[in-house]
Amino acid sequence: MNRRAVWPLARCVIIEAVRRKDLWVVAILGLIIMLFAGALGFFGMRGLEAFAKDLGVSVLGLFSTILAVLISARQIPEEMNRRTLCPLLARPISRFDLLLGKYCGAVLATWLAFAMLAAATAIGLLAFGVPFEPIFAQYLLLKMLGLAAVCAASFALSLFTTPSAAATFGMLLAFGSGMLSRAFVLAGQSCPSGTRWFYGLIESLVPQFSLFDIGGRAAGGWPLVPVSVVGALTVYCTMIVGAMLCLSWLRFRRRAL
Amino acid sequence: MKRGDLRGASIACACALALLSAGSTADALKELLALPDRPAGLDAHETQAATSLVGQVRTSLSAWLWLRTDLYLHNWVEMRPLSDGERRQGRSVEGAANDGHDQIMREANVTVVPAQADDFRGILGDLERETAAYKDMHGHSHNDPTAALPLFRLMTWVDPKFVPGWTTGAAVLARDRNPEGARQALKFLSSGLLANADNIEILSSIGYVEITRRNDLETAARYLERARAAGRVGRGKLDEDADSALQQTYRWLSLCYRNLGRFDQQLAVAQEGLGMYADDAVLARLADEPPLIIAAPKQAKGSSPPSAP
Repeated sequence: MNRRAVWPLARCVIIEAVRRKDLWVVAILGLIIMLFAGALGFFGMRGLEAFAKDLGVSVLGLFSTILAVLISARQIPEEMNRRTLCPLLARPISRFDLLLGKYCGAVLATWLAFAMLAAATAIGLLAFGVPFEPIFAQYLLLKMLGLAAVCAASFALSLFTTPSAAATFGMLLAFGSGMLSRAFVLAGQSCPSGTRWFYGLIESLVPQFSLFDIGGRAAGGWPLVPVSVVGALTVYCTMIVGAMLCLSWLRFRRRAL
Repeated sequence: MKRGDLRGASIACACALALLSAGSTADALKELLALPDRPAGLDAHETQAATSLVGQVRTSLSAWLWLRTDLYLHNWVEMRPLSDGERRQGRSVEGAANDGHDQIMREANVTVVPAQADDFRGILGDLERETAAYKDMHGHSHNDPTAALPLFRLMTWVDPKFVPGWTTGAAVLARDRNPEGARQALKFLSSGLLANADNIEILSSIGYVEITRRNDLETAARYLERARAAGRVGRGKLDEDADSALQQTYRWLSLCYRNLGRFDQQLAVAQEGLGMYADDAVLARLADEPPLIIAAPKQAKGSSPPSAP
C-alpha cells in the first residue's frame, strides 16, 4: 500500500465536492434547519428546549446521512464514466490505494459537511438559548463514526450496482437498519428458542448504523455513554469499514476498466 | 406490429376491461361483503391527506409531532403496544405509575428495545441498551406534559382535523385543576370544535372539563347532549376513540341529570346508553337506580360534581 498516494486522492475528492457545489446543498439544508428552529420559536420555546434539541439532531442526522450516501456512492462510478480511472491507475498506485484514497476523501468530505450542518444547528439552537450538555460531544463523535460506516457501505454498493441503485440501497440500509433490527428482534422473540440463533446471525450480519446515533439520549439530557461503549462502537465501526473495503477490493481488483 | 406485440396488447386490454368491470361493481361488492364504513374522524383526517399534497404534509407533520410528544413524555424511551402474540404469551406490560394524569396514564406498552432478559442478540443488544434512550419502564413516570403544550398547539395549528391533539392538549391544560387551566382548556377545545363541528370526542371533553373543573352541570349537559345527538347520527361509523367518547358521554350525561335532579332524563339517557353498551356497569347502575334513594336536594351549578364513572 502506497500511503503517500492516499492523501492526494482524498484531497481531490474534497476539492471535487467543493467544485460540484455539494457544500452549497449543505448551506441550503442549514438554512432549512434555521427555518425549522424559527417555526418552533413562533410557538414559544419555553419548555421546548428538549424538542428543539431533538429536532436539531434529527434533521442533522437525516441530512448528513443523505450527503454521506450521495458523496460516497458516486466516487468510483464517476471516474469510470468520465474515463479518468485509467490515467489515475497509470500512476504508481495500486487499485487498493485508489479505493482507500477515494473512501477517505468521501469520509472527510462528509465530515466537513456534517461539521457545517452541526454549526448551523448549534447557531439555530443557541439563538433560542438552548443549552448543550457534554453528551452532545459524544453524539458528534459517534455520529462521525456512524457516517464513516455509512460511507463504507455505500462505497461498496456502488461497485456492485449502478450509482443510483447504490444510493437508494445505501439510504435504505442507513435509515432502515434500525427498523430491520427491530423486526428481527420481534421475530426472534416470537419464535421457538431453538431457532433464535438464526435471527441473531442475520442481526449480526446487517450493519447496525442506528447504534451510532445517540440523538435520543442527547435530546433527553441523559448521562454520558460509558467510555467502554464508545470503544466497542469504534471497534464495531472499524469492523464494518474493514469488511466493506474488503468487499470493494475483491470486486474491484479484477474488474475490467 | 409483431405477433407478440398484438398478444401483449390484447392481454393489456383484457386486464383493463377486467379492472373497469370490477370497479363498476365495487359498490355492490361492498354491500355484499358488508365491509365496515370508514370511521368518521379518521376519514376527515385522511380526506385532508388524500385531497392535496399540502394536506398530506399537514397530516404527516401533525402525526410526527404527536409521536415526538409521546417520546418526550417518556423521556425519549421508545415504547410500543404489545403484539397479539405477546398478549397470548401473557407478557407483562411496563405500565405507568399514577402521576395524576388520567389521559396519558392509561397505556399498555413495552419498550421497543427489549430488556436484557428478553434479548437474544448478545453484545449488539447490550450496545443498543447503552446507546439508545432505554431504561426499565415498569411503573414509569412521565415528563411534565405542560412543557409539551406548544407542540399540541403546533400540531393542531398544522392540522386542525387532528382531534387527539385537541383533546389531549386540553387534558394537559386542565391538569392542574385551577380555574385558569380550565379556562384555557375550554378555549382550546372551543377552537377545536370550530374546526371539527359536532365532534363527539371534543364535545365530550368540553362536558368533562365543565363538570370536573367548573361544576357547571347545565353547560356540561348542553355539550353532552350535542355529543349524544352526534353519536346517534354517526352510530356504527365511529372509530374506537369516538365510540369510547360516546360511551363516556352517556355516563357523564346520566350522572349530570341525576345531580341536577332530572331523574326521568337520567333514566332515559342511561337506558339509551345501555342499548348501545350493554356491558356498561355504570350505565346499568344508573338505569336501575331507584329515584327514592337519590331524591336528595336538587343539584345545580356550583354544587359538587358527580364522581367519575
